[in-house]
Amino acid sequence: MSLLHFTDAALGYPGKSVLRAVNVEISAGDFLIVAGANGSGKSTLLRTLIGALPLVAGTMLSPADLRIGYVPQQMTLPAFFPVTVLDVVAMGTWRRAKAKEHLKRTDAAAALDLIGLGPRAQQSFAQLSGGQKQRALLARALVSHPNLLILDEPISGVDEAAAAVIVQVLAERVQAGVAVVMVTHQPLALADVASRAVLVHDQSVEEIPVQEMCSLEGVARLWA
Amino acid sequence: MGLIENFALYWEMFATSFLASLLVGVVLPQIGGMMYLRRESFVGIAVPQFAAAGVALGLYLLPQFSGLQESFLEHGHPPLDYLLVFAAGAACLSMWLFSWVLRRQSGEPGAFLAGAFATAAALAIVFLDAAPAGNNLAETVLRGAVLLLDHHGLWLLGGVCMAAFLFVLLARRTLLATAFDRDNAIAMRLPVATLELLQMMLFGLVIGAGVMTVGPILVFGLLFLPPLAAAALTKSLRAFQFLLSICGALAVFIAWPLSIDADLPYGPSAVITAAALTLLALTLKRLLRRD
Repeated sequence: MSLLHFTDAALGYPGKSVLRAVNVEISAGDFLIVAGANGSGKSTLLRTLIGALPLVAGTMLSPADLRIGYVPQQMTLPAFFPVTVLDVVAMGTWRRAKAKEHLKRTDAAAALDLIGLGPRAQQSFAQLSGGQKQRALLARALVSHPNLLILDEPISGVDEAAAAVIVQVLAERVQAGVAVVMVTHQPLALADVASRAVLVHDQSVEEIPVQEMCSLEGVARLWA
Repeated sequence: MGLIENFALYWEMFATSFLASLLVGVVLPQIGGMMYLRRESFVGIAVPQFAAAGVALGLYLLPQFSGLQESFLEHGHPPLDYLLVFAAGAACLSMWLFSWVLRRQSGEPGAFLAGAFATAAALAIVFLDAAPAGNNLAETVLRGAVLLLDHHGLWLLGGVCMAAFLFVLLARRTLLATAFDRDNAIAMRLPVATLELLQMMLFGLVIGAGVMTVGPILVFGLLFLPPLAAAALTKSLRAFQFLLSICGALAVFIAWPLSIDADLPYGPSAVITAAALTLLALTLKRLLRRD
């Protein structure tokens, strides 16, 4: 089932296209890696996918029941916000207006257990390490029951154990039919789970074989 | 003659002003709290100044509206509803302008805000100077006339404060989710843009009404100090929002006996009380952390 389909799309800001002629389709069960140099337009692509930026030109089709779970880079969030870890995860349930309050909290607590942060539920979010924050944000995305997960460098600056937990949880979701779009500078870590890959460069989005992206040559091309 | 011993007499004299102070004490910290969470507290420095410039512009243009001018001369107090349009309009306009500048993230936003503050302050003085009734009203309107507030002023302030308070209460989740992580709120298909627009209009309305009725000093103080105190005392969002209004209400409440017994102006007394409460909260936080 197609979840998002760009056709001849131009992405960017009013009067300024960052990416041109984008033709990408994302279907249920895809694990799509998005890679590219800094400033190549990955963030523009991601912000367009989540609806924060309108298309400059072209079309983007999506089904009415599209539910996006978004995981930003943890360092973009305010450090002073008076909020517990459970509060942050519970925010993911706020889309489900009709669900009972105690069920939402139970869901949030279960998602925290799943990513190994259950004992830290009542701790201040600001006191978590970078890797723990990233896992909590993944839990927030999961409790919104998404059919498309969009993640912005979730394993950058995260220790190996935390990265392994994140990749494992994502792999399980893909098995359940959820589509995953992940921006990363570490494609090698995703070699076993990724099914597709795109390289963002020269104002374009080019689909390349996942084996090529998740190889040393692919990484070399990425850094070139 | 102290407030405590002569409470009944003072209540008769200042009931309207007391209720007005309590209203702003509960509601303004909620607005300041949202600005704090959105990392836009520094925007709040300039917004009341723009509201004051709006009031001054309204006074300058008053002779253009002969009916209002006659009523003003007859009753001797400024036409609040008319001035609110200018105060709230200027506050909303400045909030929109600042959010646009911050969103663009070009240049140094602090410098832009400081420049805007200076310009608004200068405009307020120029308009007041040129307004026929300006100089007489500058004291009562811009310095805060909480002691002189009439029933109509209280109803006006009560109406806009209740509207803003209900809005914060009902839209609490979307506003908090947006303040914490705007992109995620958009991804969750929460009505971010609509609520941000409503928030800007209602907050502008309350700040405008507050500047006209209790004065910019009290508005500044109640916007910024309670969020600092509340954030020092809790790590939970719900408790933070509850403590905002408690800190604000405590400050305006304690300031009454201080102001009357020591014969001090009320607005600055309330701000100094709020500052003392904030200092207490920050000290408490430091002591608890040390333990």
